[in-house]
Amino acid sequence: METLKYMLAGLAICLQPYNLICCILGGVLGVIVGALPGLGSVAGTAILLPLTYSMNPTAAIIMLAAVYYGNMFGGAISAILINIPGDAPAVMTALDGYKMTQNGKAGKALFTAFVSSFLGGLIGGLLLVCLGVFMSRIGLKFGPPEMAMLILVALTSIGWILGDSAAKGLVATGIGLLLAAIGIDAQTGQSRLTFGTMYLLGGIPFIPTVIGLFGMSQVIQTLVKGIEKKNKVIFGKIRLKDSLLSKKEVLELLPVWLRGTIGGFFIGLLPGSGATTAAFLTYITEKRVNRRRQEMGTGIPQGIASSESSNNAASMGAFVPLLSLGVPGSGTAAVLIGGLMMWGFQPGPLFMSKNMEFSWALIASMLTGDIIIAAICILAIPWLMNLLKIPNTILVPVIICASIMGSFSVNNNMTDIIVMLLAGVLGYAFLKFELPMAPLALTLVLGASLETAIRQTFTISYGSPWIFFTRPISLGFFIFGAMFVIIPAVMNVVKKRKAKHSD
Amino acid sequence: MHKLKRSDAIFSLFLIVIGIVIICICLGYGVWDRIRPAKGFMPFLASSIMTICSLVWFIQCVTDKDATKEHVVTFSRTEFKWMAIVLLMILGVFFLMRWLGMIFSLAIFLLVWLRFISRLPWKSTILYTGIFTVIFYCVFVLGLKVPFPKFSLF
Repeated sequence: METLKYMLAGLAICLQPYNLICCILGGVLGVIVGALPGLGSVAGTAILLPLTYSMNPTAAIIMLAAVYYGNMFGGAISAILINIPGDAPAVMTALDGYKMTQNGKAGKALFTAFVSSFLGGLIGGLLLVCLGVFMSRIGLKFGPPEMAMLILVALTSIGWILGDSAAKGLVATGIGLLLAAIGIDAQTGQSRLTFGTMYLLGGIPFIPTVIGLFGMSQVIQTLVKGIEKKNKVIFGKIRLKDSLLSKKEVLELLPVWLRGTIGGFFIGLLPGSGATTAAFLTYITEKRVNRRRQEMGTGIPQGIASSESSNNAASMGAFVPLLSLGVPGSGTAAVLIGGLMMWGFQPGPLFMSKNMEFSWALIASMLTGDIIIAAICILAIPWLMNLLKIPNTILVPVIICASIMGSFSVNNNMTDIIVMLLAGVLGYAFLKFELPMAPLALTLVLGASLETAIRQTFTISYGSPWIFFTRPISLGFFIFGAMFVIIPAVMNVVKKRKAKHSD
Repeated sequence: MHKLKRSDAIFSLFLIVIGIVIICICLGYGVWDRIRPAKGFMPFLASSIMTICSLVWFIQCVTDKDATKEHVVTFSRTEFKWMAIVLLMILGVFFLMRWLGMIFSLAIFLLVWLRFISRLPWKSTILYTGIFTVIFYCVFVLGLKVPFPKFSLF
């Protein structure tokens, strides 16, 4: 009852005209920044932070939060339309999203993405309101062994599941972990696999690599197949009505949204995990349990629904440790903490109780903004699809230019453009040899976190690996991961033996 | 085609060799430091995964009884040609940037590509080059204030 009272008070503040305008503006900017390859939510929020200097703290945090979850909406746009994920969480969206575009269903893909993002944000927000504080206490039980096992299981599973061969998937995972290891070792401060190059001391940059892997490789493939002056996919008159999901599709997606949202929210509230981990963990879970799991990756809405609902729910979940403990749940939440301190707030366990009005206005604005941004994005679908009418003869060089600028904009470093090119060649080789690219991209993001967690775990346990099996949550993840891998392998063997006997 | 001549078998062998080299480098760094992983632990783990799985992939290639010409991965001259065109043009932009800055260099890139590769007429080429250059300038320079290299010829 008290929660409802605070929620209504927060709603009253966030619906004030100035705050509402800030929410909408932040959301739209977030969508645009999220759609641009090269700028993720962290960079986008950091770039737009100075815009809020002149605002009052309530309006400023409302705007920045809107930028954050607007990014999640926007990341799907470039992933679906041109196969370049706008940010790391959208990598999984690109798997099915772009395939749907190639099958002439770009509108449906976008609609699925926006509705999934909306539901993820809405349900995530409601979970934040009702369970936030309680869930944060569970999050506190996650130490280095739990984080290490969670990431290990997730990375192994995704390498195992994606693609037609487990060996190829794990090769991609290994390559990604290797690339993530290049640079300076966090513990000793010594260089590692840099071969004397100053540039590599900073490690392999993620965004230029992803742009090259997904975007440039696609460009090369398009050129090799032959650029045609007119796109083969004829859209006719593009209407929003044609992009809507049918009743049957909605019913099929309901359990996907539920699983994605709850899983994403819980993973998002774990400090350090973020929307990327949420997106691909829920995707691989869906790939195991969904009725149409064999078709995932070929262009069905289930793949998009799972990753988009979970990444938006995770962005809501990231606010739980932020507001209740003062601990950022993601990189972007860390930028928001910087903003809070700039406005004179002290993040910590007492933050919410000392700043009730501010906190509840923020939470209410996230729910309101979610509805408004979803509506804007859905109405923009016909306009977005018109972008696909641009023939490849013009689109290809434009994508190359956008990729160059996007790669440069990350670190303002020209060498990132070379990395993007080399990643493009590697990505094309991956396409030719049918190696999945998603495991490489995801291990590049999570490799550093995995290493830190493993090191901390072994430091705590004085070098004993049994710590992974004596802590219940860590053991639970291990069993979960083992089941993911062993059960399908055993079932495959049984199936082959049955087929042999029947022959 | 002889199984050992298949491109995927060669690629997996290449990865095995790279993996072994990196394992040796990591053993030089040190993999374990009394009670915790040392500097070489993570790349050692990564290259071990890569090497073992590449070996499995290589064995799958070599023992694949169903391999026919259609199953084999090949690279054609067209592919190498396009890769070379894209790489050379982008490298050209890269070098032009020192004097012309990012926006002008990319405008020239667009102009050359649209006219000589996409084979659009001059009118359309100049129109599209102008439109997209303005869009890029507004979004990246004015909107996001990305400090691109500037024109410095004079």
